[in-house]
Amino acid sequence: MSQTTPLSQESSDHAHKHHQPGFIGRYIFSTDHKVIGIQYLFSSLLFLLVGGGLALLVRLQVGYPDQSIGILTRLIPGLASQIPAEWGGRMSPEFYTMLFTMHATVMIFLVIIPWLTGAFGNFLIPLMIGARDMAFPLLNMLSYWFMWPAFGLLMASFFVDGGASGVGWTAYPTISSADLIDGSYNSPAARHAGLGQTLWLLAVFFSGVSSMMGSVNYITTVLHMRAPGMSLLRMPLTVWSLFITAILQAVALPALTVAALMQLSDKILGTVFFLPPGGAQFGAWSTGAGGGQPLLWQHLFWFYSHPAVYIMLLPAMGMVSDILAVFARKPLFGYRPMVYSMSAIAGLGFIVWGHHMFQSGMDPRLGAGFMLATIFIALPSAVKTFNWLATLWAANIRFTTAMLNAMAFVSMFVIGGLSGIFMAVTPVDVQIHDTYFIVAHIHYVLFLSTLFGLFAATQFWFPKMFGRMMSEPLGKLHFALTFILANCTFYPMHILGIGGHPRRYFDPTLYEFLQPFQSLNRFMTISAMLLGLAQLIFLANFIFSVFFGKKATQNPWESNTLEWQAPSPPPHGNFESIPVVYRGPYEYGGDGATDHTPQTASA
Amino acid sequence: MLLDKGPSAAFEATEPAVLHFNWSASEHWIPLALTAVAFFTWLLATRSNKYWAALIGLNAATLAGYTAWCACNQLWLPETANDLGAEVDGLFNLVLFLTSIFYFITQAVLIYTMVQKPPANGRAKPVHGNHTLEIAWMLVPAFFLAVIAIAQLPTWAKMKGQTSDSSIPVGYDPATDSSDLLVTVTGKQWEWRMRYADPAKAKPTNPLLWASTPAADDVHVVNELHAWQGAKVRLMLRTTDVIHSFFMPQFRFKQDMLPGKTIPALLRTDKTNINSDGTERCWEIACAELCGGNHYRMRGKVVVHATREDFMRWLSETKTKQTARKDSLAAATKPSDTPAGKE
Amino acid sequence: MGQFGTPAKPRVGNEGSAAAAIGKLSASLNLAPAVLERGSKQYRRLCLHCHGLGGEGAGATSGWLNPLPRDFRQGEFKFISTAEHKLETGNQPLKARPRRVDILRTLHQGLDGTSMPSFALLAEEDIQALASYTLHLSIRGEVEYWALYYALRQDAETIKAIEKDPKKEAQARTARFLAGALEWEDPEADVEDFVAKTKDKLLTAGMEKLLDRLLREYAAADNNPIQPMADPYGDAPTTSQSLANGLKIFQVQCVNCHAGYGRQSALRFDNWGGVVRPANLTTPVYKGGRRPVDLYYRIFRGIPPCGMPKANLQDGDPARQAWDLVRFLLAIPYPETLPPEIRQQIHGGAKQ
Repeated sequence: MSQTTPLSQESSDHAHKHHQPGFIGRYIFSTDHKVIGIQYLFSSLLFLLVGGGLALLVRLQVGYPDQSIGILTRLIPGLASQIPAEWGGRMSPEFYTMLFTMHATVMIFLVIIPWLTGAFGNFLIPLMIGARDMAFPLLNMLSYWFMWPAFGLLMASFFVDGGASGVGWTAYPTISSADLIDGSYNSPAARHAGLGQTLWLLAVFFSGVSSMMGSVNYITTVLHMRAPGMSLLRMPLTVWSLFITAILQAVALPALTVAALMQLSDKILGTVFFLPPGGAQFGAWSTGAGGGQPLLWQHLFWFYSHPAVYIMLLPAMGMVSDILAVFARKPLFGYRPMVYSMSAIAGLGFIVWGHHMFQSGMDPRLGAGFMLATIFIALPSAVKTFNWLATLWAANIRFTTAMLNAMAFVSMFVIGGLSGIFMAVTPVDVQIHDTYFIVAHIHYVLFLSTLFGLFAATQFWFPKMFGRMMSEPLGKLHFALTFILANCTFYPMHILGIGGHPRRYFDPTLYEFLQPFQSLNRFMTISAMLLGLAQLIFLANFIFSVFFGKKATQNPWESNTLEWQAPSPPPHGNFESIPVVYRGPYEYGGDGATDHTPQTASA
Repeated sequence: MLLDKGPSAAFEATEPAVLHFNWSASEHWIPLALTAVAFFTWLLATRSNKYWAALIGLNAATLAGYTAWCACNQLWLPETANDLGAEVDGLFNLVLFLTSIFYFITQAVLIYTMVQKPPANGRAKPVHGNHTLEIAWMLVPAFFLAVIAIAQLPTWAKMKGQTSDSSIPVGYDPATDSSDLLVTVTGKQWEWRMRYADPAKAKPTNPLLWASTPAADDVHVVNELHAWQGAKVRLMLRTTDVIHSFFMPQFRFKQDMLPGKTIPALLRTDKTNINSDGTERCWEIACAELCGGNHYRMRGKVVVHATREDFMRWLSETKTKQTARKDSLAAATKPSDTPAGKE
Repeated sequence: MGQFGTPAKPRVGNEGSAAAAIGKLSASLNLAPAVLERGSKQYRRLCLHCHGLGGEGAGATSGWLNPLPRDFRQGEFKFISTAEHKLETGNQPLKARPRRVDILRTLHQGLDGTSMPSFALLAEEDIQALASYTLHLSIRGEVEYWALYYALRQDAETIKAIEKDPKKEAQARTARFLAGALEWEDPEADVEDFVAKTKDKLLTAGMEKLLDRLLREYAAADNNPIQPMADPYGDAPTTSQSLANGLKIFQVQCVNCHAGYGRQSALRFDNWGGVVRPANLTTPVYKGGRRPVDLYYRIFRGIPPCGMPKANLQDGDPARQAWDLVRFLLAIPYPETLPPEIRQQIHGGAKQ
């Protein structure tokens, strides 16, 4: 498929030549994919701070459940109402549920997904396939600005009566959906399941619509806007991963969006999609009779949210693949198997959602089926790992910050992937389901894999985004500290989970069998605090480099892919003229004049 | 007076509002020490990139060593209380063994690539892939994964199915219920209410129906699950409000309770937690599904009596208390007789 | 810190001559500082989020609970087994006080049908300490409540007293407080004399008086349990005749409030200003305990703060009537145990 659609390319040229946007048009309501990408990047960095802060409060409570944290109210005045001195300077258990719910929500919906698909998807796809912009620039802008109602609603929910949602990011009914239809939005089930949960559902809805617009755009762009010669199998893996992610999102998201709407109507219209026929009793409160089924939500939710795990991982895998090849100065090993395995992950990803529900009361026969699919989804991940290692084998490695982060990704992804097998083994899952083992697993995948991939990608593409380099020494210091402290923070969670430590416990010391693990909890809390501090190095490096970083050349990493053939930063319209592609993206090494041959180099 | 300065003032008069760290405890200084290690690695790595290999390699080795240390120091799977527990632990160990092989190989290769000699003249051989290798490293893990997938099936059937002689879970049929003891566990915010059918009496003809319609001679207990060694206990799991999850770590038992449903589960109690000297080892019940602010407070305990007679004695004592027409507590709890009163 | 210490160091009464009697009483009620301190620690860990630091029933979680957590400061409890009695001085107790075992029962069993969980898995010492601390909060709350009440009261008599000499408002109010506190003890008491004697320690002295009174009330409650009449049927199973009798009594005594056997009972206010609904007796959920003797207590003591009166069984054999009613109430949730005509009446054409 070497032909591009001349029409769309031309119309984009047209816009490029005749439209002279003002400041607002250029930097705020911009339709330029690069500006939108950078807008996404800044928003997600901002919310990384919010989500990280929430996580630290969670850790503080779990590590020191009996102690007063009243000192925090002096540092953060807003907390005074949640940690009042008359409760002994302790937070309330309800507030704690809000903290971990919002930590997960912010990190997933406002940090990881916007950073991966929003920032890098937007910035990189047109540049890497040699297009002037996205297929639908206006839709692209809309997709970013549809995130803001989601941002706004979630942030506003902190300040409404009852506070933000506190029913877990999975929002299982009936704790999330039970409602007293008295116009007050109060929930009989929990303090943090009232108006906050309603806003949460709306936010999920907006974020779903936004992602859907992005996905349609990415798919169309990749299929129709590739430069001449850029066949599908000449696309860098970054583009492949973002393309597959977009398809995943487009197919899976409607389930979540619809489920959110259904729960919303349960909450505010009095429907009973998720309320069982007998209703639910809360002391003297009663919801009245229902007619639905709480399990329905779990199916709908995980039908999206399991693929979402891959949405949050695949782009990082793609970007890491590119970074590894560039700094190994060696072609990526097994390009086609990599593409096939990503596709296999995406395909299998749709039929494994039931493994979140092994203990949910779903028919155990169905569980056995989901188990088989789940076990075999480990296979494509293993293939990818072997290919990465083979790429590094006999390579001429350049130890840049991006490379170190990418290598750490490989090392940590192995742990995150392997711990998944334990949970796929259904009888073992009985013991570790909903324990800290799961928390360890998701953080090894999302923090120690995806986030390391993001650190690598940010460091790597920063020169293209801002025309300046990020500081290497600071980047490496950040890497060293983050790598060690993240392991300290998350690895012991495996041990806790094996011991049976349930998730989301406000005060584990109540249980005799958890007493031996409390010192580990404190260990993780201290590590988490230091880990949080270490991230300030990254932020400082980022902000400092935007303004004062070393000026970047057009192709500082000597990479082959198309974005490095454009100036740093690329102007509106990206390329002087649309490049023509003659070869695959990974022609490194060999005995030619240089050790790399850009995709545009003709034979 | 308490209200003089508001309750907070009264509280602060004696409670420090500052989080207290005991810095001599290892869990507090080790993270700091490791931060220093990372920092010095960074300093050293300006000289040689080998230190980066050391950082990632030592991390991988430490994690493995630490896991082994935990396994040897009781920071591991809890004691097992039934034969299924042993099977689960066997599967766990199998998976741990197989994944460890994969872990050590991949980490070792990764570290090797970091310390390998760069290719001569700085140019790597442009290898794009190898078909045979790809097939090989797909088939080998596939084989091990298949082993894992098949090995677990019988245990799963035994755990969640309703009979023990099938390798595929079998649905519950009240007519063929062969359990020795029927208990309905009703989760509510935030406690477990247990209802025992008197096993000395005729078994309810339909246990599922009995679970939703209590009988007059049921015994009601809060937060305590009693059984006897060798019993087959049928648990009928219900909830009145939100989803709870009934978790007994020692039994490797976990099952969500769904609003609107009665979920039958079979529990085998192969071991007693009453020691020979009459003391009791603490086996606890916990909730494993977020059920509101006090989710962490749904603590219960399991008592597996040594014999059925012991259990029946406990049950009849409980029943006697429940049907008391006189207040036996009245005389016994004169303040001076209470343990606290002796302080 | 007054007579009650702080939450971390709670106590009842001051040391010193006037408090000697109080000390003795509080020891007999198991209110020694060491016990209270232990109770307070557990209370702040386990109870505070619902019941609040001062026992005001307005902790962080309280707004989302129905029924609301108990406000201990009124000195009132719903499920009590105290017989009606007079104090040694011949006065009526100010309120129906619980016995210690009533609090212990609630701590052990929780309150089925509410959010009050069972604490039976705690060490027995901790449960005892929690009961003591609950008493401490009740007594403290009541004493402080009345002190404030008189400090702020604007009734005609107080205003007149203040108008006499506006500069001595505090003294006038304290005198009113004492008058209030003492008139319960002894209508003829000479307030002027008391004020003159205690001079600048008026408030303390007045509160001590009240404290002493409350302690004596709780001690008296402990010594005056309801003595259930012996069950004339012994351990014999319930007969149809017994159920028929029970139904008859129910229709006279109970049906006004427990309309439709509690299925259609109307809401009412309780003494805390909350809303309560007379229990639905067709479901086997018993807040105050499911033992027959618990039902007996409810019938013969009522639930004073909620306005549930005690049953009034006068004619015939009271013991037989009482236990007929108890047996009837225990049977009605189980249609299969009822004779057809009673089942028809209570459950309609119920299944089974």
